[in-house]
Amino acid sequence: MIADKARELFESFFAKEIVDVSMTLLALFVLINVLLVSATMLTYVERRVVARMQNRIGPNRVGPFGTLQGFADLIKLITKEDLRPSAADRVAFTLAPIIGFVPGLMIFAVIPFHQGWVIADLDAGLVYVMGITSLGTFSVFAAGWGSNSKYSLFGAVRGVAQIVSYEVPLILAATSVVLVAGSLNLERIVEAQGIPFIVVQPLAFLIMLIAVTAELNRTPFDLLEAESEIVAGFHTEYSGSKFALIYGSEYVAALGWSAVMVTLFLGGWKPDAGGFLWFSLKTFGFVLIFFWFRATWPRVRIDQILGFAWKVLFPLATANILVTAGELLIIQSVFGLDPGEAVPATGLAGMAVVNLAITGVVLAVLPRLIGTRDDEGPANVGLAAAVRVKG
Amino acid sequence: MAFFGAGALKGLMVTLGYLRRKPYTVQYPEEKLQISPRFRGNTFVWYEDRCTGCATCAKGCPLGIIKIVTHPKPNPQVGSDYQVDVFDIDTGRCMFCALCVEVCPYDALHMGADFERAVPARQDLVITVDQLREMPKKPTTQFRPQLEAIDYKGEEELEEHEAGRWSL
Repeated sequence: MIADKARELFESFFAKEIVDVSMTLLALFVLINVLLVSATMLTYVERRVVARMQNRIGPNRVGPFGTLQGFADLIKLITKEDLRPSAADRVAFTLAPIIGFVPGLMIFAVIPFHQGWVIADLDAGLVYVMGITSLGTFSVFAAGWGSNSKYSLFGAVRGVAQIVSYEVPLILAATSVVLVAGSLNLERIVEAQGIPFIVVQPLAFLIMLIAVTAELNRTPFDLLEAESEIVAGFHTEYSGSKFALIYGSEYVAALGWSAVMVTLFLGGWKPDAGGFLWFSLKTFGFVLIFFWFRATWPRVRIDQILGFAWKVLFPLATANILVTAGELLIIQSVFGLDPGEAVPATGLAGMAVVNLAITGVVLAVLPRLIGTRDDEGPANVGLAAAVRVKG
Repeated sequence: MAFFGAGALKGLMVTLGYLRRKPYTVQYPEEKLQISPRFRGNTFVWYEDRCTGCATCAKGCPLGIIKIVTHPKPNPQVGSDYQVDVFDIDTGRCMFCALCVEVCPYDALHMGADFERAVPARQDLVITVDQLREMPKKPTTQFRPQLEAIDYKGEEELEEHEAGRWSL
């Protein structure tokens, strides 16, 4: 591979320690640049995809098919005057975009792009991901509070309530994956997926998909920047390069969470033949799912969002952990495995059958428990109908 | 609709179906929609030789935005006894009712098809007699059944004798 060739070349000139460090730095440099360019391109892709889903054309002026639109916007934003409201809290206002941007990039430190291609092979990789992405809440609140504006504060308060609520089902859903894989290391989670965990843990996948959408503040959970209600929410007062950072961080975080979801549920770089190519394809495909959501679903109310997290997702995720743990006990006694040992493919298949059946039953019974309104015409389309929680 | 999230899934399928459709958007300066044959644009087609300067159009205008000043010609010809000196149509106040076209006894005034007449100042919207003389003679078929009878689509310019219900 190219990396090995480069390493050979460097090692003929420098000491091994220097080469190790510089190879990591080189990988970081390439990775961050790829991510920044991807985030810029994704702004264009989102506008195009959403436009086509709404019978529009979308940006098609700058460059071939409008592909350079994102870069044109970026250049425009960077060259604009850096405005700061006179009453704003200077430190919080300046720090917020940076705190929001960096966690999205930092997710990729522990993501295995290919077998052995990890920048930091942490044993507690998933814990690291959950911890680092929680910093996003600080960014939202710092932006909302620091702007010293009513709309910003509204958005920030909504955002904090929402993100903190959805982190609970998010982590619980990830926990059931960790139980099956027997490790928090993302590389080992990928290796444990003889069958992709989306089949083995379908309920956890659904919960995590919803929670990640909320965590990313994307439609239908984008009410902390609800443009029809509170201008632009927490980033109302931002413009120029700071706005570019906030806007870009949304896409970098979307890429990061897609990578985490692909690693946890879609088999990461598996199958081996494609490796890195499969991983990138899955990740970008997953980002498209978020765009698809945005083109489809209307925004839900704050009480619906919080009610859905605490009354539906939280109990479901907890029950899912219990069921998974029970299944694991049975599988371990049947196959004679030690706790923490990876489950063989036949065990995973058995688990998949049981869990798919359980998920089907849960999805069939849930409407009776939480009361969706099925017979009321257009109100039934979209997530707004699905999350109307009784009481 | 039995299971949870069925409505949400239905919505997703709707947008996915829309992805296959052709966009409705028309890229205006490059692409243009075909205008209807009876279109009332904000230009007029005026055949000076058909016009007698009778000012029926000015009387017929509900807004009174047509101003006509004439003087007798020294050598009167058939169909035009007065020379038209001023023929101001203030399209800035025009409501495009086409009554001026409707009342013209000699089929001298027709609606034009042009709609791209943005101007920097309000007074520039007034069409003067010189502008009327120079405008392309491509009338629409608004209140002109004789043009519909010959299946005229506004593609080529029409001569005086072709535009009216009778030739001069």
